Amino acid sequence: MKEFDKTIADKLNQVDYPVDHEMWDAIESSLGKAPSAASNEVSFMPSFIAGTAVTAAIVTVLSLMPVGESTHPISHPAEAHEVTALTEDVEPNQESSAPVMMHTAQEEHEIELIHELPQVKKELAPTMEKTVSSEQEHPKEENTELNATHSPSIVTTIAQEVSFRAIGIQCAGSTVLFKAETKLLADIKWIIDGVHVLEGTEIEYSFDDAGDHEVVMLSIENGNSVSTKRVIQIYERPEGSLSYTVEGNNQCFGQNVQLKAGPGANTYTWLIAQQEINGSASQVRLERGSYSADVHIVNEHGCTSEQNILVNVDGGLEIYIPNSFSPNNDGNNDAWLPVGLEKCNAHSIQVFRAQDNTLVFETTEGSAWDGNIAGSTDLPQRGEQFIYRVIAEDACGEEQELKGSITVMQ
Amino acid sequence: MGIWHRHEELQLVEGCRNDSHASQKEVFSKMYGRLFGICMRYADDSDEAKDILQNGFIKVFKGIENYKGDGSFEGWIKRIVVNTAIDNYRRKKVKPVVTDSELTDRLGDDLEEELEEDSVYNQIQISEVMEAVQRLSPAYRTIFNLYVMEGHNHNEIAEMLDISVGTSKSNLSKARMNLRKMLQPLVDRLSD
Repeated sequence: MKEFDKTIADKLNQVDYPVDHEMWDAIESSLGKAPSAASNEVSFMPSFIAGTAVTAAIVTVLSLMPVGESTHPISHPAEAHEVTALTEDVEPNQESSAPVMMHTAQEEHEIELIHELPQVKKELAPTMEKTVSSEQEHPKEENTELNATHSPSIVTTIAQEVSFRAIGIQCAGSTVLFKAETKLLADIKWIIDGVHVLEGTEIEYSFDDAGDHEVVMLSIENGNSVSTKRVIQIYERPEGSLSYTVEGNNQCFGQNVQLKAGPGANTYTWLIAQQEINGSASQVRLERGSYSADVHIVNEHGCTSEQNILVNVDGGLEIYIPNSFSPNNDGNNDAWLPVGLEKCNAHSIQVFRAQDNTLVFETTEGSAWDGNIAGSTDLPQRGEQFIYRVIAEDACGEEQELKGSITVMQ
Repeated sequence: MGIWHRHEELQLVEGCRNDSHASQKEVFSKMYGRLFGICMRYADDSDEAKDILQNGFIKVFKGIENYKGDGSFEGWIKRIVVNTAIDNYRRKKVKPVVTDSELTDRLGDDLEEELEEDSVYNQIQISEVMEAVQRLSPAYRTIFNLYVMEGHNHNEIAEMLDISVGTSKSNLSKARMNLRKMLQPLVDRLSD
């Protein structure tokens, strides 16, 4: 290992940081341990039945629960925050001092499902009605279809026995994990949008389209079944078209490239030539060449998409450096000299012999190398290789370092 | 010696396998400082480093069954965290600077040799070295970390990051040069 590497590594290996207890809380939560995580989980109650009297009674009790408390507004984790400063290269049309809203991509999270009004399909059987009524007394719900009584303790217990959760990203094309949460029921079937049937206590499903989708969990045990219906809202992924324009300038290596993405009030993050730039209209300075620009788009719902455009920069100051010459005084290619340095503010040329890395030629005047080896009477041999290092500063003050090989042809 | 004696390690592993809260917290508490330092070397900022480390710990605890006891538990955890950092780097789709000429790569190394100095960097503070590493571009930083800190060779790095061996060499060389440039003012300050 190089001495430099070793010194740096020794320093970095001594780095230590104090424990972040908030991270431990988050890890515990991810591992399903934190009490706070459990209390945040939402239990979903069955909404209609298609089974026997026992399960019908359970569902009926649940159907009598007031829905207001468990009807949550749909939420998603796309947090918005104000950004007061963008990158330095902000397109002029963004010069307004108005804050720009940045959307954050969704991460996998517990998805809140829409609680639909329960629909009881079957009347209570006498046995179960009795079971329910045998709990401590509660006022009758006069406005219900079945006119049954219910106990909060029973409701809570049953709700825990036949609930399901959804975990994932609430965007079209992303996978959502549905997990049945019941200890009582043996076989679980899922019916998605009334068409797609899957089996298992845990299933993964990817919704192709945005909008509201119905998810029914059917729990079956000994021929009895209970179904739980919920609606999950899925958001669209952002779309947009990408374009760019290059402002030509042949005096400088770098060219101003205007990048544009849109439409829509999305957040756009460009990654081009190892630079990360934010904004629907941004400017980047690039040298001649082809660049692949990846754009990460996040919409107001936290849904993301990736797009790509190839950016070609044709203009700009170009230094041509010959890769061979023949120093034999025949009048053709007897000297080696880069072309284009005359347009630069400053430049330096170094030539090394590849064999032993000896510096054989050096100039800051732009003079040509005639093949003579500095400090030696040696002459370059046919096929011998040299390595050049040219540093040029253009009219804009930008510096470029060019390296390559020169082969002697004579 | 590592953080734990071998018998302590075995007890901790067993505890983690049994989903023991105490064992998991012991692992987290004892390893947090060093691992966060590793993540800081790969990340753009402390928030990103925290994300990497948190995901790394979750992978450790959920994948504890994959630890077969071949090497040290500490080393296994570190590898998982480094792999998590590399996954994070890949997700960012950072493209390393591509140079295909072996000759120019060699030149980079050779020129670097000329600049090599021995002990001048010893006097710089740890936090200043860390700051300089973080200021490297993501590609240079990642390759520098993999080569210098994790001990991978260029063939391994090329495979891990899906780049050519020449690109790995070239980027490492440039990472070193940039680090030197950033550290030089600190060296000058100390020598004044």
